[in-house]
Amino acid sequence: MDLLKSIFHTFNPDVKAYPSAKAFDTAAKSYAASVTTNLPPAARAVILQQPLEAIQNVQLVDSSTNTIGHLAIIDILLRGPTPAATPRELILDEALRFLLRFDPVQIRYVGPLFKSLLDDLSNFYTPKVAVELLSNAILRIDPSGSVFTSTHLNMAKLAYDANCIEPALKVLDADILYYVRPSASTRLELNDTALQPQNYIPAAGLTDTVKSTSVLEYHFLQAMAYISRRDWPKAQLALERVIGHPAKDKGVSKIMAECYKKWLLVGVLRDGKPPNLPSYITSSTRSIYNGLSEAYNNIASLFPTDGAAALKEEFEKRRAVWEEDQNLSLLEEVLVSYQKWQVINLRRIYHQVSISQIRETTLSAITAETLKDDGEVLMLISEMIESGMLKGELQIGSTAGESYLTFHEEYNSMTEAEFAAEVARCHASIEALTKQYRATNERLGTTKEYARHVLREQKRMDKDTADAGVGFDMNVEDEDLMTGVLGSV
Amino acid sequence: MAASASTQPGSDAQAYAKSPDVIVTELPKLDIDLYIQNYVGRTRYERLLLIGKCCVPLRVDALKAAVIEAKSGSDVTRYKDAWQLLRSVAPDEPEAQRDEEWIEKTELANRTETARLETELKGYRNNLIKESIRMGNEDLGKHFERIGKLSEAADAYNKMRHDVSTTKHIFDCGMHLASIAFQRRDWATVLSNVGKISNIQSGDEEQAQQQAYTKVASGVALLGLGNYYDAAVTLLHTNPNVSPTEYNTVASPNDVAIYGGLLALATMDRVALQNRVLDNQSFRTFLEHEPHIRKAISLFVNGRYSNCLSILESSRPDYLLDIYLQPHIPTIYSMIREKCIVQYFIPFSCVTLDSLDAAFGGPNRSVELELIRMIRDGSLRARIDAKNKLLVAVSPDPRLVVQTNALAVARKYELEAKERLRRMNIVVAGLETSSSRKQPSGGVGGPELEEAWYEDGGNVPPATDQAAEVDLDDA
Repeated sequence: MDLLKSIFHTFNPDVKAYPSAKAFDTAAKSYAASVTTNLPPAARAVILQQPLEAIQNVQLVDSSTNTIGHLAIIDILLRGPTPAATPRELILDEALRFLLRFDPVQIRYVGPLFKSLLDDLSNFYTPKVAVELLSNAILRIDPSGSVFTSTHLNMAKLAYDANCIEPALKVLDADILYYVRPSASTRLELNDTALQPQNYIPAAGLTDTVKSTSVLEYHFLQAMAYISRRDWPKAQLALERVIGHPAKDKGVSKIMAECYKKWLLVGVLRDGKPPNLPSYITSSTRSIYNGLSEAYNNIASLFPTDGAAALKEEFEKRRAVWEEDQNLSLLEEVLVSYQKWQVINLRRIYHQVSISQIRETTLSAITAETLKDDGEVLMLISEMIESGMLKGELQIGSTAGESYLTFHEEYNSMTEAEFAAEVARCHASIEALTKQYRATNERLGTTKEYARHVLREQKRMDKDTADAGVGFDMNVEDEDLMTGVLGSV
Repeated sequence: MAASASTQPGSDAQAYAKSPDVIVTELPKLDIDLYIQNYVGRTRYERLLLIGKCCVPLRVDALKAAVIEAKSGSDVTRYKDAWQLLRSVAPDEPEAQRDEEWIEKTELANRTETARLETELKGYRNNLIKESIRMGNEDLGKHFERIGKLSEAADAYNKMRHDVSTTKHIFDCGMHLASIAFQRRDWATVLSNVGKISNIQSGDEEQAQQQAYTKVASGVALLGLGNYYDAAVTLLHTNPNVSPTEYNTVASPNDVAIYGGLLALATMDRVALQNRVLDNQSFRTFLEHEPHIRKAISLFVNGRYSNCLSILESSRPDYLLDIYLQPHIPTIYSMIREKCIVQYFIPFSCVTLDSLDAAFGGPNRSVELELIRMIRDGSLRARIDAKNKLLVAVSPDPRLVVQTNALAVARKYELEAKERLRRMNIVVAGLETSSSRKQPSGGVGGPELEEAWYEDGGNVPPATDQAAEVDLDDA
């Protein structure tokens, strides 16, 4: 036990005790090495033999202060054979406590170890707990959640497979803006407070290298999670991230095509009409998508029309397609919402309308007929008002047919103060984005593509001064250069 | 007609004429004899036949006239068509007896004439006299047109163009071709041929005559294409001082007044109607032929919409019997009606549906459905209050509109900025998808490029990464 103490208590986690940040950095690094890779086998054996004592030992130092040591012991205990006398729950509880309270700076010194712990979390806990812990860990490492890591994907997979999306939402809702670049190998002082998450996460080894497919898969799972919660706007955004993923050669991968199909349906569910592709999607990609999803395009274009029968027929006719694409339940959702959107669209025509009129003018896409009695319509509408889908008010009359629906304005008027606050929020967020743009600009400035571009530009300038008369040549070269750069960007 | 049907199918107007969906049962005001006097040429038969097909009270008279008209010419197909129709409606009339002798005689005469003209033309060709060749072609074309072989006629007329030498020739050639295109209901061809002749410079008097023809012909063609506003503008510019004989192969002055007036009513606003139609001296001359059109327009301008509509309604059977107007009447009438309703509603913030019914609805016919359609189309900015039976004008709150728009723009900007930042970072990290040319090392986002390209500006090995294909096994 003394051996353990002599190893684990050598590190003082208080930054103030060190003369400089650099000194802390050095100390933390050597400590991390001494408790992980350089840990004497004897110490490991002691920990495995006397788990309780080992835990108590580290409990003397709080996990939020000595994160490095704590993680090392927990890792050994979780993986090593522990004596049968020691209850597994105890170790798991200890790990849980650690995961909730670890120090986000110190953890950077034991990144790979921590990441492997996160990777295996689903083996130790039930999915629900694991998702909660993962999302907590991701946000502790990077409070903005804006850097994509391999843990993101693991969490999304786990959350979606086990259908426990609620605890993952905090991470899923965060906007991902950065992707790690494997080439960032320069040695960083990991405790530097000015360090951005997109820099320290890869440097600390807190993520695996990420592939483009992982990015696509993550956003796909994100979209599926939102779809299962019927959160159409967010699902649509997530799907747009997949279908708009930059491609080098105008191609469209299978996952992108699948997402395009879902995106059409989700867009219809969200707005009641076919969605518009974002502006950054090139026309060639657009036409590829169009060609790939004729059946879905038909559904989307039939949705805003009066053709309930045509919609139903199209649905029945292509049932095999929907099943093959595993979109059947989404399609059913579309059919159910058809009549709801018909009702919503009535607000453009009526200020007040009777329930019986609604029954006569709207068709259900499931039967291609009107609803059977006014009571059903009344139910449908009160359901819509309750869910917030329809802004309006019911005036119940003596019978269902004599009840009236009054449509409210689509948007509520805000007070000036509320409006100003909202504008200020947008302003602040755009300001923040501007900073991030600058950071990205710097990052781009250090890429080889850019260096090459500058070099060529210089060469061109030299050439220009040599024979300034050849304006035509210059133009051609300019165009060449543009295509070259755009092609690779 | 039958010959043209086989050559130019698919036109809307044709479909109407062939299978008369439109059946007029009320007695129209027109008198067949007086009506048909206004026209010359092949349009007479077409007009008579249309009346015979569509108008129940007049059909026997019209078809008899059509049979006589056909027999006065040499188009056997036309005679057969008219005879067949007449036989089905009035088998006892003397004209309903098939005149086999005439048919045989005419067919024989036609064949001989064709052969004769073709031989003559051959002779002219051998002699290489341009003017004779042109005249030969013209004669042949006229003959083919007379006997109903429209595509042959068009060929012959087209050949005239090679040998034209004066502006008059160009004009004739264009007119012949336009005439064929009229019979085929090929409006685009009419327009292109009329366009060719309208640019010709010639003497003043001639110019005026040509102007009248080109305006009327292109106006009718634009109407046929459904381009109502342009048609109205064109017809409004027709020169009234030219004798109707210049254009009565196409339309009569009455027709110019009706087409121009109705289309203007359907497409122009009140100020334009006052300035360009009622105060237009030259078009006034035409309107005098059709006083009720003028009445309807001035009633509309003065805001008496229901009177205007009832006048139009009373003339509906007549207009439905016009070959060029018939397919468009429902559209034109509903456009005028919509305009009336919109104009009627402008001064009010809300109107009871009952008063709208009184102004625009007929007996047992409510305007509500029409209102719904108009609101849906966006032509009427109002909402219906079904509980209080009101039509309420939409008065958007400008402050709300500004707020909503401002926030929407701000949010969109924010979202797009984020998305673009994200995309830039994807590119920086080399995470674009690419389906071709995988690198064996794969798996690493944006693998390092060889240093080679860094030195020379030559070939760039693309920074590819893993395959883009992903199976959706966990979807």
